[in-house]
Amino acid sequence: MNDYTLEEVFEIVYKQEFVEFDNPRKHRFSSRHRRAMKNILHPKSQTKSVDCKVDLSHIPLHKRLLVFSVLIFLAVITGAAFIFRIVGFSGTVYPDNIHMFSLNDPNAPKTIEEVYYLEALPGRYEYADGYGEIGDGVIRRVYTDQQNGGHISFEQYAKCVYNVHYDNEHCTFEELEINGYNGFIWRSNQSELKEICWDNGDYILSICGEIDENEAIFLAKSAKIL
Amino acid sequence: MISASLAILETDEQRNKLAEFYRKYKNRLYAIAYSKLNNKQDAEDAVMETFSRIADKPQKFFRLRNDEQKIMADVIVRNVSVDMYKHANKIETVELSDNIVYDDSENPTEEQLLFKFDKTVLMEFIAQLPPMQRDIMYLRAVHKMEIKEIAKELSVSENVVRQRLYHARQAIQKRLEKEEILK
Repeated sequence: MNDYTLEEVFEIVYKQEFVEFDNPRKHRFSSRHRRAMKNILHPKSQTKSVDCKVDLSHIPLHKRLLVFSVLIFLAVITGAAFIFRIVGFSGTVYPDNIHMFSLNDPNAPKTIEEVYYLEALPGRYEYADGYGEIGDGVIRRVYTDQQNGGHISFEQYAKCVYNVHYDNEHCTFEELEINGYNGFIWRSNQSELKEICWDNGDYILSICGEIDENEAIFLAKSAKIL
Repeated sequence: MISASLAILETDEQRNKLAEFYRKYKNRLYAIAYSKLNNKQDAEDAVMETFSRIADKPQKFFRLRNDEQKIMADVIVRNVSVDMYKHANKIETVELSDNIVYDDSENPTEEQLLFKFDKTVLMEFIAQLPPMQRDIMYLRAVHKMEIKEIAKELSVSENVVRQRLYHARQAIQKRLEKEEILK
């Protein structure tokens, strides 16, 4: 046998193959990545935060819709406000609206550092209007459906900025998951209008418009960093 | 695809070692992933998945020398990235039919490489193997990993591992025959 080992030969071959990556450019990893790595490298640091007036986090999803309905009903009947908390969000149910906030996340960016876009947005949608850019608290993009003239908006909020009121009359409000992240869908009972809103770990993202629910979910799942 | 929740680091020592390894090589692994995926978020996910797999069986990884750890991570991140690319583009890996059976016997064909070739020829031969075949051969012949372990590490089926080993061995056999003729 020769005086070298297969291991040595493989090592040389691999070193040559990956030599172009020996001095890589420094990449600024997203806070979503940093948090996920923290969970891998320091799994014991994961904590759960539960200190709310009505915590729905541990109630099965299908039962939460019922709880929301009861809270809205109580708010309408009594005129009082009820505070609830679901994973990632906190909300206050008033007689005529639900006020949603993002739960405080000290690791989340305070302004938008990376812009998201909808990878699966069909070609029939054309950019119509919008505002916001990197460094702002909110970015909003409105697209027009060239086939039927309808609009959808895609919004990205820094978590500390997210603070939105939703109508709670003639509508339903339900939790859902987008790519494993928690969020909710608000649906009007009087039109096709709906909004999907979710916390993607770094930001609050939302898609709103008169759009088929499955298509809206499909679009939401395709949100990626530009 | 991402299985970050699988991470099972048992001791502080393991956690510190892997954290140090991450600090040292995260940019390198990101660059490898990005070269395959051309997307920042996907490349970051590939790095995350790589560390999740390493953290799943840390003892094995930490037994390797530093150079070997680096190569192992390079190989995993490349395979994870290729797998993600295929998944995103709906490219399926064609599997061998059942009648082609990989011979997993003792004294495998790979060992013959050491007897028959000099170092330069052997390096040239290994370098020209398709990367996926080379990776599987490396894990099998050098790290003596089981087919099942390789399949898990590289996110392919056991059949695909057997298939790639089969092709790698076919290539070795052909090369050996060629060497015989030249002599």
